[in-house]
Order: sequence, then structure tokens, then C-alpha cells
Amino acid sequence: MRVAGKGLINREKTLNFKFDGRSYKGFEGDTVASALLASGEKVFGRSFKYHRPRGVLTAGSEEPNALITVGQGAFQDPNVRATTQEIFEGLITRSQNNWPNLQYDILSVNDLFSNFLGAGFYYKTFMWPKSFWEKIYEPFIRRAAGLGALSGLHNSDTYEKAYAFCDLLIIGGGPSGLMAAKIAAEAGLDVILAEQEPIFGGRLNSETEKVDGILGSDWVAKIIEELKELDNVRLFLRTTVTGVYDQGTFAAVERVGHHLPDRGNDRPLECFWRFVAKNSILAAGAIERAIAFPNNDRPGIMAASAVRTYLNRFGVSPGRSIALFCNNNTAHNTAKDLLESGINIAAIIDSREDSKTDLDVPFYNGAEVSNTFGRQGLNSIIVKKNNTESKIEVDCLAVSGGWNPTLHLTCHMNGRPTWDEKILSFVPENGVIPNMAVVGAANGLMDTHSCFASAQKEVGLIIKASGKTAKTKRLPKTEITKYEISPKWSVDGKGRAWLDYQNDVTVKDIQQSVQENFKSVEHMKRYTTQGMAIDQGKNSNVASLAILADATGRGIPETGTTTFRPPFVPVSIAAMGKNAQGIGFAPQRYTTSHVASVDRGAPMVEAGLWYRPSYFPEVGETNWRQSCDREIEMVRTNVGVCDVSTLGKIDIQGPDAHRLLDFVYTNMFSTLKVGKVRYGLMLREDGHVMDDGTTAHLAENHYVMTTTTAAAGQVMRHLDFVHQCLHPEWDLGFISVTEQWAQFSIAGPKSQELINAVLDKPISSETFPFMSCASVGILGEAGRLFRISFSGEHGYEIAVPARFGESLFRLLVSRAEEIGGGPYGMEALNILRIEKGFITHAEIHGRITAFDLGMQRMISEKKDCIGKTSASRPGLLDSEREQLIALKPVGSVKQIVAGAHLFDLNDEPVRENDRGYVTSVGFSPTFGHFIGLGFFKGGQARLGEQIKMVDHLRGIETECEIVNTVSFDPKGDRLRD
Amino acid sequence: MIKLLPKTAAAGLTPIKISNTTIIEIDTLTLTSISANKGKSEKLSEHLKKSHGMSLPHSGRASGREGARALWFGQHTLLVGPKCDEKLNKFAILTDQSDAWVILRMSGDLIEDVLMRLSPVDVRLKTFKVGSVVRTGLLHVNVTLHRIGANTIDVYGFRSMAKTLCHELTQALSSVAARD
Repeated sequence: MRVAGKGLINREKTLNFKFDGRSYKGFEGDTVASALLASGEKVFGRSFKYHRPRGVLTAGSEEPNALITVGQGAFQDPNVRATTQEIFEGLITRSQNNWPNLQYDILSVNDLFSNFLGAGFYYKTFMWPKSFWEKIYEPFIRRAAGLGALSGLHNSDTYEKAYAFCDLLIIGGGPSGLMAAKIAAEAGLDVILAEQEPIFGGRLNSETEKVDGILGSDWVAKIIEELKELDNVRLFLRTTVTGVYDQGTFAAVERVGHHLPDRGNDRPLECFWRFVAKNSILAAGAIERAIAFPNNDRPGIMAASAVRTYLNRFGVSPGRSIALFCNNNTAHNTAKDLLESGINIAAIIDSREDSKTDLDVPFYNGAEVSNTFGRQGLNSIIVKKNNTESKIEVDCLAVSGGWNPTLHLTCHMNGRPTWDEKILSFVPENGVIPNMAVVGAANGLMDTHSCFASAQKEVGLIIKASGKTAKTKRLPKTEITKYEISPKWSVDGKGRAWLDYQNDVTVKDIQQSVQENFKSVEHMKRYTTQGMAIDQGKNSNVASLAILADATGRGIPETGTTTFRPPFVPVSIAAMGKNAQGIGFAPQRYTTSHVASVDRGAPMVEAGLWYRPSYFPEVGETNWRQSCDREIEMVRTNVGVCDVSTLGKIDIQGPDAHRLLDFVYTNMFSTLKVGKVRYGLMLREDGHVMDDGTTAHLAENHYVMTTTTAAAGQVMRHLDFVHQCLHPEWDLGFISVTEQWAQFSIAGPKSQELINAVLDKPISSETFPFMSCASVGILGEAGRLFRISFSGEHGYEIAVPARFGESLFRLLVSRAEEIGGGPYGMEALNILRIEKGFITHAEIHGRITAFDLGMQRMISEKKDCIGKTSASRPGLLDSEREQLIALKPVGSVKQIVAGAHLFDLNDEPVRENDRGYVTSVGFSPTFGHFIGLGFFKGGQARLGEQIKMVDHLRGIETECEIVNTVSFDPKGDRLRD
Repeated sequence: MIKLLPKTAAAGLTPIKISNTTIIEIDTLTLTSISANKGKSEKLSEHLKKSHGMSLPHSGRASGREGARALWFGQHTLLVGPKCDEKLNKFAILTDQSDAWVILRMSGDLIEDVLMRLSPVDVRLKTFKVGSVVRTGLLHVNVTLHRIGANTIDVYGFRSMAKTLCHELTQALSSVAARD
């Protein structure tokens, strides 16, 4: 119910929202949890395993029970904590894990069988029969025990990823964080302050405590106004730092759109930040923990601090008659604040024998709550003192078992917290995160003055180390409540005492885990599922390991904690995966002829990041093979034009350029005359083939190397390595000119006729023989011409500055068409080169040597080169190695398929008899049958023999003959013509 | 006589205007990569100044002014604007790169916010001052950023990736502009 005169909500602005189809009202500033509590709702969801009705336990991101699904259809977002979801006009939410509805959930029958469903029951129950697991047990369990679900539709929300840099990242905008931010910002540091709530202030918004004589929340507003005036502090609200990584990098998720009714298409839902900070201050506060007493999970049983938050921040009382169960002083403030607001306090039950109170309420010291009642909402509790039990009627019980510092981030780089006996909590170890200081409650300081003082001290050290001076000396005056905690982890009695609400783990489950010898904290966690899922045990970890310590007879420090890993709160995969969805997945590289090719209906294939035309369909062609076969025939009989700009082009200049070429290529390049091109093979240090291509000697000390499309980056890196690390003394330079030049292959008997149509000065076979190169004028522009061929035909490659690429391509194609030619695509290019036995990276895949390719003689005897020594190792020259061969079908089955394996004709096609594999295949219209390239053990000595190709996946078996790798024009007369 | 028609790298992709921030293509400049010969950096710098009015830039900086700039480009220097004086080849290797790069000029209030979403470098004016140059990634694309004014940054990217660059910049810009 609402409490008049309380809260930081805007009562002027009423908002309507829905929960499980029913309409509710709340105020601006409410969360779903506070608005539903204000409307008198108790049950927010059903528990994971037993489907018990559960209410809201906390008021923060640690909430284990009140998990809801927000939004509908493609926009639905499961497992949102109702305690963090701000309401807005038209918000639609629903509860999870129940059927048919929240009040009458059929699967709550599980609760009746809880004796059979205890810790580890999956592991024991579903062992037999084995085949049932995947088909029956697992789908059933998944359906029964579940959290929220995704829509299954394409996620149409927008997300962001971003980077921000600062001198100081302050994690947490409570009293400690604000104090640190103020001091650091005034001293001139570049500050980022990240707060996960929609308002700054932390606990100060939840308490009635005064700071410098004014209400804490008013003091917060004043500080924020001051900080907003400074341009060296950036304030991030709704931003949770979720992980700590090397070198001062922090991950954080900012909830940008979750609180807005109409975001439009562009406003992101979340932004995933990478903060890079020279220093950081963790001021994440602390999380209150529960006490494990029988039936402590009923709706209406809440953290005492959460009750204060609902009262003081949201103006909501979660009950009309409220009792308090605690083992420390801070919880007494709950009773005090409620009383001041006129709410009935039915009892304070304090487990400490010597505890006192000044409040005029029934007070039980040295007592405990031993049982509770009320299925759909708490209606009474049993208080046990000195073995006497009394029943008290209440609709809300506020519980405090003490506070756990929020130290999770300090453990993200393998740090382990240490046990502090005085506050009965783990506290962070100093220095476990480089350049991070932990202040305030996150460091175990449980009063506001100590929080301020620790922030001042730690930020002072950072300011000093940065060579700046702190300006703020005085700390604000605060009231001090002494914490004074004494141990109270659990209460014995009949009924289950819950530790981990989200995973339905009880005290008994942990004891059972110990009985079954899962005694290490990590084993206990896996066996019972304690501390898993959305809340990651933020409420239950310490209490659980206290129970574990008790059951094993070890102390809490020896028992230790499980490992806290990122992320601190759930982060959408969509936010982390932003830029890797759809079109942003990888850059797209387009050639200058792209538009012209698409205009002609060419389907594009990806080659690395490049898009290249697969084939150019003509009217009447219904199948790619028709187009491909026509293009091959066109090149073999006429002329074809193909964009080859994607090949790597490296401009190499300088007096030592030839030395580099001799060193990286197996064959000699220093003898190459100006105006000539040579084919070269490049090895890796380990003697295997890295790449191949041609290099042209354009002018004195000026070469242009071409690489394959696939290895352009690798070759560039290799050259850089050779020059910078192996031969820095060489005077040369090189630079990629791949992007500078658009280059087209013109191949076929009529290629010279076509090329002369665009050259300023015509060439002839005599003036420009095979393997020539020159700078030429192309319709008045400076270009380059190479007489090289990848098709086996008389051919050229012509290059112009990229701006003229499209224009030249369109012109060449239209001129080609006039003389019976046209464009050809990747499919045709591939068959043409297979017919000639030319290799690509299908063949030089990284495990292949020059010897395997039959190119051993290309490794020059006269000079050294990279990979030469390695390539001469006996194992790499073994005649039984898999060697390049070409195949043609000779039996009744005519198909050759890439990836198929090769066997001797009479061998059974099993792994042990494998003799090789097929790398490239295609149907050759020139020969009228399939042809293929592949590798076969000792293949070069077996020319003319018949072998067997078997594709086990597709079930194809083809008898083949090993043929000469150069099937077409073996002597090369056509390309030299 | 038939002439080849030039087409710029970002033809049809720019201008882009969202909120008060614009992206236009700068396409009228000659780009020449200059790489000093062994031991000739000082001489080169001297002659660069004589020919084009600016010395070689320091790492992470540009020298010169609009119309004739020299950008630190890692191992090379990129002369941006004038046709490079051929005589400089006595001291350096000169390579024409006029068609290799797309230059996108971003101007407006949101340029820092946009680049914060795409590049892992601090592009705020106080750290990335006017005249600064950085080679970095823009999502998956390698780029060079050059700050030419408080509200203007030039992005140099591979010509073939112009469409991707414009797509990424537009997406980030829309997303940033949609915030309050």
C-alpha cells in the first residue's frame, strides 16, 4: 500500500501498465515491483523447481524471485527483475514459470514430491534407460523447470557497443561513489561515474539518515547538481559494470531503452560499454542476506533493507502489520522508519541475546522465527524464545542476516576474498585488481561516515599519484548506526529452510551434498545448483557456505567462496553481439565492376570479404551450368572479360627490391628484365607453400607483385616481417596498391583485338609477347598491361586507377560482345584453370610443399630463400607423399566431387586405405566430362592408372583415371600464341 | 574519342545527414604515399616543405593545411591534396594512392559519440586534438582518423569498403541521434 508523504516518486504522474493481463497503476519513478506491492500484490512468480509461489525479496538487481517477462512478440525480454524494471505508460509484463496461471500452477505438484526432488535428483533419477535422456527426460525437465523464454522470432531491437576512456572509473553512485566522484572531479581528474539504478544515491535514497543536516536523498541531489556543472565527469545512470578485464578494461551494460514506452526504431535497448580507466574505485555497496529458517520463502518475507527501500524511495509499505527478524542493528531502522510512517510493527525478533531497542514495539531478543504460514502470502509466523513458541499474525516479515560486501568484481582476475570475523562477511583482498581501490560498504564499512572517509582516502591517493591536488577536505556530517552483528545463519525446525530462492536450494540440500561427499564449495554448487542462474547467488552464497562449513566441520575461511565470474548481472547476447548481426557481421568489399555485374543479373559469391560474380546469365539460361559452359566456350573460342581486382597487388620499389623478391620467392627474380613478368612460388619458414602469383618488373627497381585474393594480407605481413625483422638493412619500400588499381583479365583467341580497342597504342604478339608488362595509355588514362593468363588462352590483364574501373569494365564487355565475347564469372574461371592444372588455395591449403605440386625444381639451386632448408627435409621429399594429380572419370559413374577421398581400385574404401582426396572439380565442356584436381600418395608415378573416388557423405563412388594435371593444351601453345 | 568516366569511391552513398551531423565524401584530392629512402628522412622533410609547404609530420599528427596536408600513415606519409612533386623521388618512394582510399568527412556535434561506438580509441577533443591522426579500427574495417577541426574528423578507409563504412557510420549515427 502507498504511504503518504514518502518516496522519491513523482505522484503527479500516474502511469498505467499490465502484469499478467491485468491493469495496474503506478507513479513515475516506480519499478514494477514497487507498483505491484503498492497495489497489494504478493505473488510475483513461481520458483524454479517446486513451483512455489514467490514474492519479491529485494529491491535491486540481486532479486531471485520476482523475474518477469517484459514486452511481447519479437520484443519480449525474459527474466527481467521486477525490482529493476521501471514502469512506463503501456508497459506489458507477465510472470514466468507457471501454467495455467500464477495463482494456480499445475506443476506446483512438484512441491508435494519435494522429498524425491532434492539435490542431485537429476543425476540419480534419469540414469536409465540411457536412450530416454535426450528424447524424453531432458525435454520434459526443460519444460517443467524453466525461467522465461525467448520469443523465437528475429530480435528486432537495436543495440549499441561503445568505448569510453577516463582517468578514474567509479563503480557505484552511492554515498562512497559520489564522495569519490566529487573529490576526484574537483581535483581535475577525468571521471566516469557508473550507477546501475535510474537515480544516483544508493542506500541514501532508501534511508532516512541525514547528511550534513539534510535528508540523504537531498544531499545526493545537491552533489549531482555540482557534478553536472563540471565537464570532466561523465555520469552514467542505469549502467552496471559487469566485468573486469586486463589493462584497466571494464565491461558495462547501459540500459538505454528498457524504461521508455516508444523508443522508435533507432534508439538502442542496451549499450555494451568498454570502459578503459587508468584507475578505478569500486563503491558497489553491499547486499543484505537472509536467514534460513523453516518456510522462509513465503510471499511477504523480504530483506529488511528492501522494506526500507520500498518505504523511503517508493512510498510503499509491503504490509500492514510487519515483523522484523534480524541479527544486527541496521535492521532496526526498518522498524523505526515504518513506525514513523504509522505502519504497525508486530514484533522485532533479534537473535542476539544482548540486543535492545528504544522503540515501543514487542521485542524478542535471543529469539528466532521457527516457522511461517500462508501459501499465497504470509499470514503468521512462529517466534521461538527459550523453547517457548508464540504465533504472531503478520503479512510481512523483514529479515536481515547481515550484509555481504558487493566484491564480485574484485574476483574477476582470480582474486579471492578474505573472511572478516568482525562483520561476518568476506571482504576484498587489497590489490587483486591492478589500480583498483575498494571503498565503503563494498570494503565492509557499514556506516556512512566510514564510507565517506574511505572514499576520501583512496581517491586522495589517486589524485596525488596523478600529480593533482584534492580540494575537498571536509567530510559531511553523518549519523552513525553501529552494525554489531552476531552469527545467525539458520534456524532448526520442521519445514524446508531456503537458501537459494531462485534455484530452490535448501539447508537440507547442502547437508545432503556433504553426506554424498560433495564437500568442496565448488562441488556443492554444482551438485545443488546453489548460486547459479540469473542472480548468481548474490543473496545466498555466504549463507550457503556457512551451512556447508558447519556441515563439514570446517570454518568459513577454509571453505571459501565459489568463483565470481563476469558478468555481474545478465547481459543480452544481442548487446555483446552488436555489429556481428546481419550486414554488420563482416565488411563487404566491392570491386569497381560490382554494380555493372549485378546489373547483368550475376549472382555474387563471397571470396574472402570480396564479392565476385559467379556467372553472367543470359536470356533463356535457367541453370548456372548453362551459363558456365557457355562462358568457358566463349573464352576458349572467342574472348572473355573478368574482374581480377581482388588479387593482392603490392608495389615494391628500391635498389634492394630484387633481393627481397629473391628471398621470398623460391625462384630467381633478380634476373627478370624490365618489362617482363614471372610466376613465383612463395614458401613459409616451414617449407610449405604459402602463396603463388606473378611479379612484374615495371621499371628499374620497381616491381608489382600479385598475390592470390585469399592470401593478400598474409603475404603483406610476410613481406613486412622479412623486411623489418630479417633484412632491415635493405633499402626498399613496399605498399599495397590492391585498392588503387582496378584490373581485368581479358582471355581468349580474340583478346588482342579487344585490348587494342582500348589501348592508345596498339600492341602485337611480337611487340608484346607472353609474360610482358608495360605502363600503357588506356583511352588517355595511365594504366598498366600484363600479358599473363590463368585460363591457358592468349590473355592479358589490364589495370586502370580504380575510379575508371566501372567505366572500363562496361566498355570492355560491350566491345567484347560486339565480337562474340562477353564477361565470365568465377565458375568459368575455375573450370578454365582446372583444365590447365593451375593451382589455387584449394590446393595450396597449408600442408602442401613444392615437391607435392611437382614444382620442386622451382626452388632455385643458385640462391637461398625462405623455406628452402625446411623444404629439403627428407620427410618432405618422400615419394609416398600425397602428390598433385588430375582425375577424369572412366567408369559408369561420371561425377567427381570435391572433398571425396581416393583409394586404390581394389581397396575397401575405409580410413586405413585412404590414399588421398579431391580438392577442385568441375564439369569441363571442353572435354565433355568432369575433371578434378587432388592429391594422391605417390600420385605422380601413377599417371594413367585407375583409382577409386569415394564420397562417403553423399554416397558417390566413381572410378577415375589419373591424368596429366595440364589437361588442356599441355604444351602451352595457345597462351604463347 | 571515347573517354573513361571516373566514379568516386562513395558515389551514391553520401551525403548522409542525421541530426546536425553530416558525412560527405572528399573526392577531389590527389593522394601520394611517401616513404623515405634509407637515411633520407631529413632531406625529404626539407624538400617536402619546399615543394608543398609542410615538413614530415610527427607520429600521430598531420602537417600542412587544407588543400595540402601530410598525414602520418604508419610506415608511410600520405600527401593529401596536391599532385606530388616528382623530384621528391630522389629521397623517397612515391606511390599514387589517389584511388585507394575513400575519404569521408564527418562534421557535427555527434562525431565523437559516433566514433566512440565504432573505434577503440579516445576521440574526445581533449585527447584527440585538432591535427591528430590515428590508425585504428572502425568496427571490422581498418581506418585512419584525422581530426581537422573541433567538430570535423576525416575517416580514411579502403575504397572497396566504402559501402560498409557508410553503413556502419550511418547506423551508429542514427542510434546516437535517437538518444535524448
